Amino acid sequence: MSGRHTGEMHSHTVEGTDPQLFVEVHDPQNDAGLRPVLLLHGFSSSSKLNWHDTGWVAALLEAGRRVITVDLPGHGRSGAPEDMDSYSPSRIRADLLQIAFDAGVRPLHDGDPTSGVDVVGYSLGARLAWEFGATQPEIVHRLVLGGPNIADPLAAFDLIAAQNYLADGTPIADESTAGLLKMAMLLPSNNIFALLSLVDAIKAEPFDPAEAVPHMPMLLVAGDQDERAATMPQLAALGIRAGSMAEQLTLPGRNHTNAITSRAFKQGAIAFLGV
Amino acid sequence: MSRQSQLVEASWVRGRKTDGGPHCTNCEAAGRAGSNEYWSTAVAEISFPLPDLGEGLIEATVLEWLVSPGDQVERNQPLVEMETSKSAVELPSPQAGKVVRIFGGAGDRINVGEPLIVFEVPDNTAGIVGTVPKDEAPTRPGPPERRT
Repeated sequence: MSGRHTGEMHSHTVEGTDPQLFVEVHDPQNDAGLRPVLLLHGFSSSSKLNWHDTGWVAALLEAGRRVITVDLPGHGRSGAPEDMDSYSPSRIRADLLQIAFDAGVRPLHDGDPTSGVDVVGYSLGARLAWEFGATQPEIVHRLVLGGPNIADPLAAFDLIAAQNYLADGTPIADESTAGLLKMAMLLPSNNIFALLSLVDAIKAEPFDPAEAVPHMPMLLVAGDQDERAATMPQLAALGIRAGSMAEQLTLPGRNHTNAITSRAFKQGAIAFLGV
Repeated sequence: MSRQSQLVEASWVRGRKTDGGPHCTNCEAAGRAGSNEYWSTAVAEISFPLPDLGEGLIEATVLEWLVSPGDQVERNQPLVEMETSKSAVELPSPQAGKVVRIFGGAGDRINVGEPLIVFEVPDNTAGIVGTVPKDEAPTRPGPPERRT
């Protein structure tokens, strides 16, 4: 593919079921001749909110990168399947692998800068990127992890309290749960029950970054006001102990919500992935 | 094109001439009608308000300006990062031209419809905001957000 255009990919079944994930591939006008970049958005967000509206897709295309975006299940334009399995992180990783191959990603090959794929994830997307990098070293070249956390805040989410609140307005005692639910409900278009299915599935498979550590170079980025990413240095230390080159970038004055548009973040990521 | 992106573009093309002449309320039509003779000065200023950001948002806070007065910017070049109560966005320039003024510093709130930026443009292009040749319209990209 060449020239500037955006194509919607048609999905097919993975492990016998259609993941119903909305995938787009964006081609740059002037291709830098590098591997594509896969973008993974955060909880209660979408490719549009996390990557398009924030200027990421435009910045990567401007840098000559081919961009693959995917909406997570129950998010954006993806379907909201009934079955819990569709939301499990391991199932999502399997879907991402299929999406990467469907988009033309080929295994890394020494000396071929078009081989493999770079992955940028934000928040929950950073968790998925970490695991994807750790489990798919044959195709993942480099990782950029935004707003990362050593423990998934969604794993501590109080589902019962959230369901009670949704049923009859019973106040939620846990501050993190209340905050996450408020964020999820801010966007009227969110399918709140699909998002709760995702939380449920994440609780069944909580993030254990030490279990599988990516070995490829990684850049970890967070705002210095981002409480959800206060454990970023521990994540970096894990990566370094495992032999990864782990760089950290801190964005002054930014928090978990507004770090994403930061120019320094985008430029840092583009430079880090531009090799 | 999403409802949101239509709204954004619709508000962007409400650029206004601020050189004392009548407001360019229908710029495209004015351009087709050959407004060059009407606007006779060499340069003109065009003011753009904060566009409708969708989702019922009425204001946004400036996170960081990416351009300064005096800068020459291209259409679609990122202008400013703004934060709403729901997310952070980067606004691309609706216009090529020289930045004359920007409104609000980091942390300042701006209401939708209030002035955000003023450009100086060669006068013969001032009348055709929204139909500048070659460049594509500013993208507030993405097809409709259909959450199911």
